[in-house]
This record gives sequence, C-alpha cells and structure tokens, in this order.
Amino acid sequence: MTQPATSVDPSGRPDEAVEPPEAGTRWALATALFDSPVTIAAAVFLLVILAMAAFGEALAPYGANEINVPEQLQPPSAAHLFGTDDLGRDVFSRVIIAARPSVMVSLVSVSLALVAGVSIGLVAGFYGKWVDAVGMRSMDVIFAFPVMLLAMAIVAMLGPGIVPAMLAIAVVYTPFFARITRASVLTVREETYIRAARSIGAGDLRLLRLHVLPNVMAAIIVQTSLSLAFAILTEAALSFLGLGVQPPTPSWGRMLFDGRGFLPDAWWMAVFPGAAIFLTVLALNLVGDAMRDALDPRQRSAIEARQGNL
Amino acid sequence: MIRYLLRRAVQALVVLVGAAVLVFFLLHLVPGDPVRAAMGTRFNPEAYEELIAAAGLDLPLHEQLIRYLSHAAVGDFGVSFRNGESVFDLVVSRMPATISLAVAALVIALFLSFPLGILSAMRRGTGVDHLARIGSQIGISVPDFWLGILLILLLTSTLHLLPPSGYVPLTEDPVEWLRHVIMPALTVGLISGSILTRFIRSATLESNDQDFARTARAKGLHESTVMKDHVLRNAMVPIITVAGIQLASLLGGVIVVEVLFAWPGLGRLVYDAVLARDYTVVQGAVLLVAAIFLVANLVVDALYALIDPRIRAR
Repeated sequence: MTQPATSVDPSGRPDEAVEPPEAGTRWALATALFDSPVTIAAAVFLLVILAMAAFGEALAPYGANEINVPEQLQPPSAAHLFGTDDLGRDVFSRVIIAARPSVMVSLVSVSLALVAGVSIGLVAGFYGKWVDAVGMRSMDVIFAFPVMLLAMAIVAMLGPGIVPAMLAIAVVYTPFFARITRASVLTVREETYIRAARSIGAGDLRLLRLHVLPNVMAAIIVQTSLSLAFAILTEAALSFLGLGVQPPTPSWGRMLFDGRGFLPDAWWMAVFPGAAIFLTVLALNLVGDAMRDALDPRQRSAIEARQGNL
Repeated sequence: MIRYLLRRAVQALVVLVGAAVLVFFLLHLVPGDPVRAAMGTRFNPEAYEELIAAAGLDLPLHEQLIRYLSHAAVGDFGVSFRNGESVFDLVVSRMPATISLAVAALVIALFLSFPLGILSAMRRGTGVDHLARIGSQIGISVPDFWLGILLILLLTSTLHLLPPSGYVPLTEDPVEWLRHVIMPALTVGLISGSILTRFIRSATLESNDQDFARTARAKGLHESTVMKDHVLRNAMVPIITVAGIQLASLLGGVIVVEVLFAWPGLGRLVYDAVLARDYTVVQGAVLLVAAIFLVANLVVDALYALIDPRIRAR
C-alpha cells in the first residue's frame, strides 16, 4: 500500500530546523550531528554496545553458559549485578554476550535490505515506466503485510535460526529503502547536472554511480540508522517467540522469554535484557533523528519506520 | 471521488493478488514435506494421501498456483494439515479477540495522543512539550513484550489489580473482558499513542504555520476557533492517515503481545501454526491479514477523501 504523500515533518522538532551543512565539510557535519548532549550520550552508549558485541566474552565476568545450579535465581548483588537465572547463570554476563547476535542480525539484515532496496529504488526511479511499475508494485506487495507477520512467515518457512531471522528482517525492510531511494532519485533525475552529464555522453551506470547515488545518500544514511533500531526490535521479538537466535547462544529476546516464566519473583531475569533492547533501540533512534536533522531535515523520522511494526 | 477510490481499489487488488502469489511460493520453499511434518507422530499413509490430494500437492506447480488463487478468491484457503479445520473458519473464529483488542488499544492511543500532541504543539518549547516529546521517544523505542512484562510486574504482581493473562469474550462477561483486555491494550496503546502523539504534534505545528492560520488570526477570530476550524481541520488528513494505518496493523494481530498475554487472536493463531508447522493455516491467515490490512487502508483513503476535497480532485 502506498504511503500517502503528506508534507508533514513528523520529526518532532520542526522548530529547530538545522540547515544542512555545506557538502564536504565534515567538521560542520560532525558539529551539527553532536550539538546535543543527549545525542552524544546515545552515541557513546552505542559504542559500548559495539564493544560488548565485539569483545563480549572478555568483558563479561562469567561465561554465558556457566551453569551454577546452587546459585540459581539470586537477586542482583555485588557478585551478580543483574542476579542469576534459573540455572544459576550470571544475567549481567549473558546480557553483555547477547549483544553480539543482536548487533550481528541487525547489521547484516539492514545491509542486505540496503543493497537490495537501494538497487531497486535506483533502477525504478531512474528508468521509470514499466521498470518502475514492476519494481514498486512488488515492494507494495511486501508492504501489504505487517512487518512481524511477514518476518514470522518467512522464518516459519526457513526454520528458526539466526540466518533465517536475518533474511526475514532483510526482506521486510527492503521496501523502506526502495521507496526512499526512488523518491530521492525522482527529485534529482531531471536536475541540470544530470542532463549535463548525459549530454557529454555519460552512460547509465556512470550516471547512477557518480551523479544520482551521491545525491540520495543523505536519505539512505538516515533510513539506515533508523532501520537498525527496528531491526533490533524485530530480532528481539523473533527470538522472544523462539524463532530467532537459538540456545545455547544467549539473546536478549530469548532471555526475556525465559524470564517470563519466573515472574514476579525473579523479575531481574526479564527486566535487564529488556532494558538492554530498549536502551539500544532508543540510542539508535536518537542518533538517527540527529542524523536526519543534520543531513536531511525534511525527511521522516523514526515513526515512519515503525508503521505497522507492532 | 468515485474514480479516485476505484483506482485505489484496483491498485489494492493487484497488490493482493501479488501477496497471494508470494504467500503461495513461501509454502513451496519449505524444505522437506510439510504435510508429513504437520502430521508428526500421527502419520498414517491413507490420511497422508488424502491430505496431499485435497491440498492438490500432487499437481504441477503452475496448476497448484492457479488452483490456490481461484480457491482463495472465493474464501477457500484449504484445511489445516493438523486437524482438518477450515482455515477461513479458524481465522474468523479469532477475529473477535483481535478486533476487541485493536479497538481498545486504539481508544487508549487516541485518548493519549490527541490532547498530548495538540497541547505539545500549542505550548511548543514548554515543559509540557518536552515531556510529551521525551515520552513519545520512549514509547517509540520500547519493545512491546518488555513493556507488557513491566505492566504485569506493576499491575499484577505488585498491585494485584488485574489478571496476568487470558481472554474472556466481550459477549460473555463484559467486566471480565475489560479486566483482561486492559494490560494488552495498554501495552499496544501506549506504543501506538507515542507514534500518534509525534504525528499529531508535527501535523498541528505544520498546519499552524500556514498562511490560512495567520489570516484567520489576522481577521480577529478567536484563538479556539482558529485552532478548531482552521488549524486542526487541516491537520486532520495526515493524522487520520496515520491513525488508520495504526488500526490496520493492529487488526493484523499484535503477535508478540497476544502471545505474552495468552490472547487468542490472529497473531496467536499464526504463531501456534508456525510452531506446529501447519503451513496451510500460516498461508491462509497471513494472506487474510494482508487483505484486512489493504481493505483498512482503502477505508482510510475513502475517509480522507471525504474530509479533504483536494484529494478527490487528484
């Protein structure tokens, strides 16, 4: 279903319209990006999550699957900051180590969606006519399903696991990139510099690569950071349902699911992994919104990406 | 206006056929033998042959596709591999739970977002505005299942106010229905409401910046008239669109929340079918949800064509 074209800027901050920085001045861009302490805090938090994903085992005080039944279901303490689960595993360590599958799934799936979506959007927008019709109608078909439902159907067909989860998330987020890219291409397609390049004999591929793509990059970068946030949410939901990351690999969503069975007494089993998901998504959204304000103030924000994503 | 809606309907129909083809091929990507898998330990060769023949799985692929599409067009989505129930009936039997949850959640979302969004736009830059913006940023980022668990911890474990999960049909016992629906509806409604609050705020701001709002103020209209008849009326189109899309996606079943609260709606149906590898049910339910989604979007289109005459002209 086509999203109706409204001229609303749902950024939540139309009052603080930031002028896009001059092209090529990276410093200006960086200052525009990090002008708020909230954005800086969010970016630092994301660095911590990345470090957890990269060096999780080395940072965690215990192993992810270090079972210690005598110490099961202990509340948070100095020895176990986030308490222990039903098998006596340290929840703090598991939260740290579980950053890797979450980060990996969202990075890989969003990269796949980006490559597929941007290619489809570029070609559809640039060539128009039937190429456009076929490309965008097939994106509409994917859009016809609520995100979680389609992701779940795809995982159902491929069987549960981390790779099917990646593919499923990639498929459901491809149309977002295709639409945004196509819309940007349509606005630059008739620009003078494109005609000029064409008139001196530049081929289609060269035009797309050197002239069209750089001009739609801002929109794509913003979409990427926001999609990463929702990919984390979708992955966590799939793992929560037992369809994503499989034990013994720890994952935030799965830990929440396991913790649900021990409510209300062992509340820490569910509360801390959930907080990790929430804070990561929040940080990605904040950075994404800041990027939009810095790069492309007219563009839609996080909310568009969460349409139909409940 | 009629022509506009007709064109949208034809577009939706094309997309729906595409969705049916996609769903059909998804089933055929399943490695192994779905019928055998669904029958599990109750496997017996005669029933197996019967199911294969009934589902037309012995036909060539293109004939199966045509068969599937033509049957689906008249509401026949086959039978469950597991217990032989009609997929269509299964989906219909889950609709009341999903619809009642979706409506309850939307009511909460609207009650939350309208005052907050408008107030936050009118008092831009004040404390109310900041609170509303922080609140909606949190609501947009929070995982629904985590919010649900926090609500259970608060309302069930600590305050002992509500049952942790379960479903009572509205027609059976409205009070018990209400007690059971509050938490899942709050979970979904708070998140939906956050999304809507942001939209309503920016749509109101946008509309308030237009020339017509300035003109209305310049000719001395009362501020409340300016807001009601000029600013909000023009802000309504994008707001209705977004609220409609929200409702459409809620009607598709909020899978995780339904699982968390043992709410027997559409999302729960698909989830159970996925776990049981009951592919005809997955296929049929997913397709029907897409159809609901498309129809709901069409209704939204019709609604705002009614509200905004400029759209009819397109």
